[in-house]
Amino acid sequence: MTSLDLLLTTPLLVLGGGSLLLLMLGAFTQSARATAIGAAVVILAAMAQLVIAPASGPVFPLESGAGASQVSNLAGHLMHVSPFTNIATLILLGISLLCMPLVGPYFRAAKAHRPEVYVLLTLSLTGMVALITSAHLLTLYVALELMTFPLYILAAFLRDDAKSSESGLKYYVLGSMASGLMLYGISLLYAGLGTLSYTGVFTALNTAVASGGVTPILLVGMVLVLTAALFKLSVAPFHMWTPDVYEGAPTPVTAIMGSLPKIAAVALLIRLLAGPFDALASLWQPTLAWLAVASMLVGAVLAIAQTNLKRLLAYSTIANIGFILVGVVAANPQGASGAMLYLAIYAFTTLGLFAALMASGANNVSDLKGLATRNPYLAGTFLLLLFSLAGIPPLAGFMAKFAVFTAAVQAGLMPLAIAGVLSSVLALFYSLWLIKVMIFDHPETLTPTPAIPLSLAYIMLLSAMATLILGIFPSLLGNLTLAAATAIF
Amino acid sequence: MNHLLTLLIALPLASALFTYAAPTRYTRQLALALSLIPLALCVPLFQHFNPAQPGLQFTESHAWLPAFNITYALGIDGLSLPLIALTALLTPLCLLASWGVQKNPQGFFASFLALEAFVIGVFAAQDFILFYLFWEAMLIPMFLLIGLWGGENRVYAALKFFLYTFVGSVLMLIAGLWLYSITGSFSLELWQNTTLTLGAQKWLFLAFFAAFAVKVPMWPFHTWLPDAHVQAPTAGSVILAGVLLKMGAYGFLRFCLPMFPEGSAYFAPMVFTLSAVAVVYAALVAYVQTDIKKMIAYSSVSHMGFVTLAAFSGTVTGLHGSLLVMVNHGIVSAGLFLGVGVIYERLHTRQLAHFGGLAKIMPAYAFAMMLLTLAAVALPGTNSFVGEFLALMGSWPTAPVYTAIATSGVVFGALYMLHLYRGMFFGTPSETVHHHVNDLKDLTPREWLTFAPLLALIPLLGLMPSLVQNLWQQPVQAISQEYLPALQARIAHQPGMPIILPEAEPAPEPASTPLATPIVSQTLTPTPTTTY
Repeated sequence: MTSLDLLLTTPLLVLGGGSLLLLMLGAFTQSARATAIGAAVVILAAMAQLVIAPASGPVFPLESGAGASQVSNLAGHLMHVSPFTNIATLILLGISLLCMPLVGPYFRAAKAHRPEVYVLLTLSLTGMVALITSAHLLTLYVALELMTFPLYILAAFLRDDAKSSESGLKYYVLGSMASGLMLYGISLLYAGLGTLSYTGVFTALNTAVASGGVTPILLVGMVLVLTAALFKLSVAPFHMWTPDVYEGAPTPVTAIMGSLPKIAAVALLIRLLAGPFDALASLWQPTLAWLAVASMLVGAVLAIAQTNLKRLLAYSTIANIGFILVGVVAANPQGASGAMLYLAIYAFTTLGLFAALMASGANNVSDLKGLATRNPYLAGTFLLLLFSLAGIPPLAGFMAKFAVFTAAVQAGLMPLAIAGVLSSVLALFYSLWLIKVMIFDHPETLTPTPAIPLSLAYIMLLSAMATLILGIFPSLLGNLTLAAATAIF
Repeated sequence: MNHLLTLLIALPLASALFTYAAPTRYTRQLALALSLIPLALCVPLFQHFNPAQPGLQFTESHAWLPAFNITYALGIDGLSLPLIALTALLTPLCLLASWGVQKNPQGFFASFLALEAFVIGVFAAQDFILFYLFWEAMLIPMFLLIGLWGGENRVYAALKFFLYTFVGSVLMLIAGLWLYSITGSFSLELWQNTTLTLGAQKWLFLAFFAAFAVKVPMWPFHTWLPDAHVQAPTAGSVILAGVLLKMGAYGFLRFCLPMFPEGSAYFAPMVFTLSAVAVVYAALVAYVQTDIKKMIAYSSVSHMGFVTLAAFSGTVTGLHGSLLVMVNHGIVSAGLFLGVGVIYERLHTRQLAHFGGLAKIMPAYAFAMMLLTLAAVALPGTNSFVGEFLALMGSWPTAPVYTAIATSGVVFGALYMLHLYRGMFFGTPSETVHHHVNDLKDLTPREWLTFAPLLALIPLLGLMPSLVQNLWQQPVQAISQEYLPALQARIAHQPGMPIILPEAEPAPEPASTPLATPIVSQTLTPTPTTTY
């Protein structure tokens, strides 16, 4: 371990060490508020290095072991920090700062506002950053577990609430199965290739493809590893857990689950596909294209039928991940950049929607009836964010869709792009339907909505402003993601 | 002068925000005053526009998204100028006609001004993404206008309007992305100078056709229109019929004909068929309507049939006619919808059976509607006559059978419009009219003010069509020169046969007079620039 290794992993170390400090802080002060501020400071500190002095390079080289000279080039590193991982980490941590103000009002109302929420959040973030920067399948596995375990606990955080417990348990059981599958896939890959680092797998797979030696064991290994990532992303047909877990989990946790892990998992998927599994592109590209279409359709169609708002947003997530996957499948810098841009825009739009949802106090679609007469500002925010989610210009959501579809067309995937835009028509429908319920329908009650907590208003305002600004000037973020993505292809 | 177009887009948008923020007491006056600024800006636009200059004028270009080679490019030629002027003229009239809006007036007037900004943007954009942005953004205020201030069935109409238009538009987006992957640019000028293979042109045409045919709307994609028109508030109908429908026809002239001439020619027989059917079918359907607003809505479908038929006929005369019908229909149908609004405000019904004998009770209203009706049936001396006559005359050389069918639509047009006029103004007054005879005040000064500019334009453009016709000489020549040879090659072949363009023939002389149809003198144009 060198000082360079330490420098490159600063965000990770700050987050990991910070989580432990926060645990102490929480235990001694018993103050959720103090822990929340501490968590924000830790996240900002982790971002500081990435903003001030971004660096890149491989981290933690592996010893290739004595007497194994023929596999020495397969050894590789445990982690690899690149401009791409830096921008993904920055987006992740930036969005996580937006999540924090959602937590307080909800848990205070549920009388469960404990310091542990924030500790778990930073621990999960540590896992996500490790996942984004991983360059070794075992790092990947450990990071994935570190990311999801705090989320299982957070989903079940309201101990007295049956739905929350059910949600946590479901998430845990299904998530563990996915992790198990991934571990099995990793072991199969190791059996077939004798290496686990990304560079090693890349070299070995390329050799295998060149010599025609791609054995079923390798294919099954790759499929299982990718399946676990797709499960975390809730890509159809691995999406079944999402609506149930989203519905039962505390609303801010749902917002966190719908945004942060998706950013980490997409960044990982892009790196896996552009790195170790690049040689098998002819196999995964058509498969993932079909899954993208399936996700877009399943998400968009089933969202129309939902009456519960959190379930509706769960299906919306599934549909949007489908669109993001279009960019991933394109497998070119434009696609990876488009996917990251889409993720960032999708994440803050979703967070704004969750904030608006919590502010309106609505559980079901029918609770939103006539919101425009009860609280025009809240309805206006919904309108803006929903039109953005549907991809109507000049809002940010359009630029996100534009970026991924352009990438797909440039990659020659015309049918995928056509399927994508047609699904976006279906996805438009549920957004329009919600807008119709809020703005055109007559309210059932004329009581104004309760006063909106300042923190929620702040999130909605930020989200709405970002929707407008990135809609007109997407280059503000798009240039960064494009430059970063060009480096990994 | 250099930023006139930006001002024309930005000012209504800023006005919308300003109107929304201002106190409710002054909303209407403020909105009206602000909407007069773009109209005033049209004066320097006409002054400095040089009709003899080919290509775009008032151009502006700034890098917007360099990563995708997207520019903020504006510019107008003779195709866009009259439509921009029409938009700027109709908006204040619409605001005047909406003086009585009670429910959330700030929202109403702000939506309307935003709509104006986006529509002008559509006509001025010279970059595909900018065009698409305005094209789609326009849906949001229109959706709100129909859904919030519309009739009983407004929600259904608003959703149908939004979804129909969106489906067509996304296909156009994909076609645009494909063109980008071929040319590496979104610039419309560059796309026009790119020659594509026939196979590519066919697909691109179909995708753009999906967007524009829904918007025009062509039969059988028109079913959203009667719903939207009937449910929309008066001002919404006026702007919808007056300007929004023209966006589709404008799209055909801006994109399909000049960019994919062979593709357009390949599908021209289909467009002719749909247009001829639209003219006759919509006219017959209009005749049997009992709701006067629906009647005028169907008459729009019928008139837009002339526009598409004449546009795809490709002759210089036909294109002139097509554009004239567009402008005239924008004036006349806007006036007719305003007229429906006048009577609806007084009687709260639109059923033809509930009227009758209004000529004696409201003579001034009867006069205004008479002039509009005569213009709608294309009486010589009114503006519509020139447009429809040129459209039919220009379509004859390349599509004689379809023109003959469409000409019968003129007769049917007279049938339903006179039926409408007789039912409303002559005969014995109905029960409803008797009951409300005290409410039936004649036109107020405000209503006179809304009608006056339109009524003045009817004889003016009827007697001096060259006022607007001169504007679009250059683009019309250019389109015809690109597209007509392809169409002639197409109709000379059996349907479905591949079209082989002969090698370098001398380029034809551009037609010297606007009304001449240089069919005989024109031969197949050799294709310039590179082939991708």
